[in-house]
Amino acid sequence: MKNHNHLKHLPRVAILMGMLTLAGCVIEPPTTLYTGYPSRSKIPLKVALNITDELCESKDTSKTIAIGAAVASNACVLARSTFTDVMEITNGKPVPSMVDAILTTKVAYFNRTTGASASGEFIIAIKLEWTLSKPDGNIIWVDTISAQGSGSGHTSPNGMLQNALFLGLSKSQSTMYSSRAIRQFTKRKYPDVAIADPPLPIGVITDPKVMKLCAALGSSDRGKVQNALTSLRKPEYSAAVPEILPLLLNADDHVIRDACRTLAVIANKDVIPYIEPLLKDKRSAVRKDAQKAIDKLRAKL
Amino acid sequence: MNHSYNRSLAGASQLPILALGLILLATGCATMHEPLPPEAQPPENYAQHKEIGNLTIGVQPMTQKPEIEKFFNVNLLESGIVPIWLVAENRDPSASFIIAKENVFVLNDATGETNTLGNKQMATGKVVAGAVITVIGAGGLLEFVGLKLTSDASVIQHNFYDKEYYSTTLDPGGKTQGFIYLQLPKSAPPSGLYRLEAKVKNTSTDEVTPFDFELNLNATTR
Repeated sequence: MKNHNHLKHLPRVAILMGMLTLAGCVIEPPTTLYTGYPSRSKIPLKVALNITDELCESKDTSKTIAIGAAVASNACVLARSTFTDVMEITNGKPVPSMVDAILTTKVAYFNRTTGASASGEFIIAIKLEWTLSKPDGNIIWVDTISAQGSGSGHTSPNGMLQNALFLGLSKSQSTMYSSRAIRQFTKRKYPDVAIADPPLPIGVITDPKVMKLCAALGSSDRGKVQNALTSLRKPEYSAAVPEILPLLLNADDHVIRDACRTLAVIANKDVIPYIEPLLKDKRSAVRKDAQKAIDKLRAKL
Repeated sequence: MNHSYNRSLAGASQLPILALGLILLATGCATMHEPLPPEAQPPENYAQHKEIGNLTIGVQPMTQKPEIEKFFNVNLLESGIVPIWLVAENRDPSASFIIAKENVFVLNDATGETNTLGNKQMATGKVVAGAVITVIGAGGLLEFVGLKLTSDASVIQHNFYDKEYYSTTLDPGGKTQGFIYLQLPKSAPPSGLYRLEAKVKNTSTDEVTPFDFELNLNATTR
């Protein structure tokens, strides 16, 4: 008679496999708001931030991670750090008569990949589309910002999601603040109001090698992030600056210090407001590298 | 004697588990990497390009299987999808241009219908991942092997979306690039004349300028 003793464990194995498969499915967006925007003069526009039902109900492509509410609440902080006057409206209504423009955001893409094994790479990627339009609906500016967080099966997926979202918000604010189209509209609207010069334009990343290195910046593996920062330390990689700025808020002091060193080489003095808060950091090594980076950036033309 | 027989029987029963372990080692460890995108050339380097008012747009349908597999890890033509690479560069010293995703579409020259994949179709993930999911189903593979394929499918799907063209405003000196996906019937090889149209808005003047490109897919091979 054939021995089938090993088969008696099959149901347990199946349950275990099911649990392993489902583990990590419950991913919660961060409850804290991203506040790492640099303090600098705001764009003098009265903006209505339009929070839509579509945004609030946004989920990933598998419909398991609800990201909309987190993006909506962060959009308020972002808008208030960018424009002088911000009020909120819902689904485009009512449009207050005194507003200059309406800012609407949507989650253009939100997805995650799974590694083939626990040690494989897991990615959480998000694309945020921002549209600034006149009250009559005419579009002033639109842009789509991509960001991703990555790690292994052992990495907290919530942490990866936070990395992706915070990076996306930081890049969004940086892009919005430096937009020529928005500034031109503001100057036409308020010709007598002095508007601070925008940061120098930063090129789009078109070099696949830089794209790959920037993707590694969202990794939860400190070694990978540090290696990428070191490899990006070449003046011709200046397009990577917006990808590096969020790392100045990283919990790991080694990552922060390497980010300072890389920015000192590839950025211009426009990033100094992002680095300055680090001069008050409790870690002396961070303060030292931040000061060095600022000195180098100030010495640039 | 009886104990020894049972031990050898127990050892034999471990063989399938050992084999499964080896399969896992062989197949479960390597996660597919997202392929790098094509290196964007200046728009005028593409056979199909146009310059209007210091804005230049170049497009190139990707119709060769090896090229598509290089950038997507799967032959999209089998799903009836033709990726079209779009590159734009603003060389105007002061004007900004809006190229909204919804204003870039492909028309069938004969019928005038649009064939560009819409957001709703894309959001389902069925169009792209369909081929991969079919492979898993048809294989009848063990769950662990399926897990590996599911990982591949997730990377392929992510790569597809990630390389897509998204709405952008091009400030002076700005560049952008991405793929537009043209959905054709799966049953027949992609062929025919199509027209890609991008409606571009100058933010200084609010003027909308259409950029038209003729796409001849008759030379397409699967």
